[in-house]
Amino acid sequence: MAAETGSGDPLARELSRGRVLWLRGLGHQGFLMGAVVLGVIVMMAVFAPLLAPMDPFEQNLSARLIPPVWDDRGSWAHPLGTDHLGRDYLSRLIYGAQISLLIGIGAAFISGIIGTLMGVAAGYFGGRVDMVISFIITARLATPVILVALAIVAMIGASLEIVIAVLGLLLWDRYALVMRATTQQICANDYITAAKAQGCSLARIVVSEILPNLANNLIVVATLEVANAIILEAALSFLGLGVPPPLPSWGLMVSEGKSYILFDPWLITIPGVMLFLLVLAINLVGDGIRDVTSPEGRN
Amino acid sequence: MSSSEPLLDVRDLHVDIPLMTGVLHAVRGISFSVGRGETLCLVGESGCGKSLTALAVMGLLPRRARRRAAQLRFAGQDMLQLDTRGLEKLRGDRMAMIFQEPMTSLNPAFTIGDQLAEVLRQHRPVSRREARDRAVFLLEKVGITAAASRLGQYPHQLSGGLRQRVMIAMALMCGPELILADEPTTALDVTVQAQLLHLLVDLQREFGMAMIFITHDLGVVSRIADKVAVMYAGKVVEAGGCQRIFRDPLHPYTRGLMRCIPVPGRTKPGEKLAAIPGIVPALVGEMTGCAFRYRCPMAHDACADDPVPVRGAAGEADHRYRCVLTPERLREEAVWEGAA
Amino acid sequence: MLSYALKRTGVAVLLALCVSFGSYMLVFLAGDPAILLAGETGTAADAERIRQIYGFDDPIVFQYANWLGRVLQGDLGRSLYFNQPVTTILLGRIPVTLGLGTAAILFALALAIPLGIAAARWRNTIVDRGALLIAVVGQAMPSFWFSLILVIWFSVKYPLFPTSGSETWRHFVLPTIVLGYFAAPAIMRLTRSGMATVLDSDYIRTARAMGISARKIMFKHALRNAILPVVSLSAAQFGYLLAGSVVVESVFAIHGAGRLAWESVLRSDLPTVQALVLAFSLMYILLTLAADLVNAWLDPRLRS
Repeated sequence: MAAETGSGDPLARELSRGRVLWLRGLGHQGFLMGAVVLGVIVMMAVFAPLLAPMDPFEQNLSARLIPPVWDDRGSWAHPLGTDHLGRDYLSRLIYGAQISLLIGIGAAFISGIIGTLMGVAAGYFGGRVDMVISFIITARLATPVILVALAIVAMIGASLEIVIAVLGLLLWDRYALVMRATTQQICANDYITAAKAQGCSLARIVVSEILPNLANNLIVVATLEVANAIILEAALSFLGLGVPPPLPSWGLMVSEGKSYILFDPWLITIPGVMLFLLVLAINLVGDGIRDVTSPEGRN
Repeated sequence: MSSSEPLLDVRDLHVDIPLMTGVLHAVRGISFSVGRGETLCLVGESGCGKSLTALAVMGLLPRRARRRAAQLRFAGQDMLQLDTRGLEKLRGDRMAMIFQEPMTSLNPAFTIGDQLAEVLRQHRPVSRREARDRAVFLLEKVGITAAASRLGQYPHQLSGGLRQRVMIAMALMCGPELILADEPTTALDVTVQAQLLHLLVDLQREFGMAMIFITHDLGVVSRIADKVAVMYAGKVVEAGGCQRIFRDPLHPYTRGLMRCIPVPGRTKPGEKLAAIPGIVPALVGEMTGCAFRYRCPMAHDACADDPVPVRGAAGEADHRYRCVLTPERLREEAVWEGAA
Repeated sequence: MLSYALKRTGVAVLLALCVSFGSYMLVFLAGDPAILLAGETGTAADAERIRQIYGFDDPIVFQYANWLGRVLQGDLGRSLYFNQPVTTILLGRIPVTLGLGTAAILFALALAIPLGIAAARWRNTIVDRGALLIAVVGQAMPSFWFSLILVIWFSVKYPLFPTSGSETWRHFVLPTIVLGYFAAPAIMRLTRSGMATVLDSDYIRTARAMGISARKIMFKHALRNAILPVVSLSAAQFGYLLAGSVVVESVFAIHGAGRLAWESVLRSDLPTVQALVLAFSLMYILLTLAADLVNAWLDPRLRS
């Protein structure tokens, strides 16, 4: 069929690749929406000290559980109300963005290094190396992540750094799988065979030929893993074995609001909505990058 | 239905494919007809729209493609008016198609027997037993040995040649009046190609079917065609009886194609085969004048004008070609000498 | 087929060994497991006694072999909290989680497969968009939060279902929805992309050229091919969903293995945690093994 319909977009060939991607990105509604929301949340995290109206840790027991401004009992003094310790909910929410993003990016970075190394090694060397690494990946897939993370955090103590490290050490499976498949594809190309035949060193082939070609897929997986790590952190914190109080983790905020579910459900709703929006935005951006860089991917 | 009416009559068929950058006009108003038992060959380079023409007739175009035509009649029925159900009734029963890719054209999840029997049972109220018998009968007809034992096999257990034979058998299950064969032998080994071609022609005679055979191979055309339509850039540039076209090709493109056929005895070993220089123009957007003028050795200013006249060769009403030049002019010039 | 099945089973057994070693090693994360096992009130003498009983002074491989030997006989140790054999406790809890998981995966499949087929059938239309929306929302919703939102709406505002417990079927409705919706998006997306690819394939064109009806093409010719990878994914999702029950069962206070896992972690009941990690891993391994065998049976190319 390809021969009959011509080679796709004749005009596209005249524009530079970067410009085509940019145009496609602008035309991709999901990507655009995700990018805007993500941008806002990142700004929130970066400029938290400027944006937050109050100290997120300052307790005021005489002003506990004030509802948000849209409630009859709310006021502009605390636009999103206060929690059970009288801390300003909006300020905690804004600082919470820092924690989610820090954990998401930190964990995805660590797992990205582990997973990419494993995947590239398996894909490049093939044979026994591939067999062993594939087996390790499968074993990892069989491991119940939440439970193991809970157990480890419980035993060595909860802190921001520990949560990042534990998630980073657990979430490399998708990187490894995707990078392995991608490397296999790249290595099947003639130019890699040619480079090998010319006696290029392993390091040179990997750095100059393989890694640049992995970039697209790597970015897509990385976004998914950032989202994944954020959700897991929230779940761990919710279960009381993630980020320790009084840090304003959104998951922890939901957990602390749980006792007030009957009369103050907004304590749960608000941080949950933020988590949802953040993860949604990251996923939309990831999907968008995948669609835009490989339009064949969807369909 | 009057006996003089052709089995299939296509008038001014267009196929458009909307793209991000414009509309690709892949088939640009072609007309042809096929009589009962007749073989029409559609000839042209890849990308000239010959496969899309066949798919458009069958109503099997890719989702994005749009079809329009002034007329599309099959056996007295107006196919343009048919709904999906009506089309489904026609396809596989009275008209069938064989594709270019034998390796991927059969469903990997079902046995040969299932797939063959299903076609008959879709169109006829027959029992499993009867459908099975018909399948065995046709598998033997297409030259497959131990046909009954093949029924339980899956496509991946068969070679490409065998799969294409199964495809032919499947197309014949209901005894169609028209077969469309889209380069059915191109993907196969040369020896298998010849066998399959003979088989197809024999079966066509035996079952009295009409056939539209799509190919880029003029050698094949000369052996099987009753009528030939030469396509270039979505248009028929020359059409007529097979013998006429081969004896007296007029359009510079047809004459160029003829030169590319190696002739045993005349083409010396090691001699460079002739080729038509240049490439097919992009088919996106509107185009005026003759599409071949960019590659034509006889091109001149008038070729850019619209419409390009369709002329008849003197004395032969159904041998027509699309060119500004008269037959005499075209014949007198040895257009392709030295062009390669 | 038989040799494939044997080979695949062999890999599964190897995996199980590997995973069991991993879960055994969990104990050593804490530094000195004897002190941990002795508990906060335990004396140095207690720790010494435990060290003797568990053989913590032996080489690790030796200890593991001992432990594995006991596990294979059904002895998973004693729970520090309940002071009962872990096996007994698990046998009471795992069926609850399996029941919840089965209901959830069925809900997920009932939601995801029709949606995926519809999205592929009406590609790039409003149907496709709608299905995609359902999927991205499902992927972005933290399950603990979704649980609480359902509780706010369907237990507090409109008291249709109980907030917690596991006594009647009504207790399982909301958790089933949460877990099912957690597993559905991936299945939906794979069904959609698989169906889309298959519907564009040459053999579907052949079927259409032969006049096979659109319904039959959709549900027989296309689905049969597109469902193969979905089977594998569904099994994996089933496994993840069982592990995900740790969160959901905790929210809904369901008396299953997931909640037990969380509570045991909080109580530092290591033998129970260890056994649960092993149990969840084994369930995943068995599920994916079953899926691969089903696939081999469904796909004639793998069968021979």
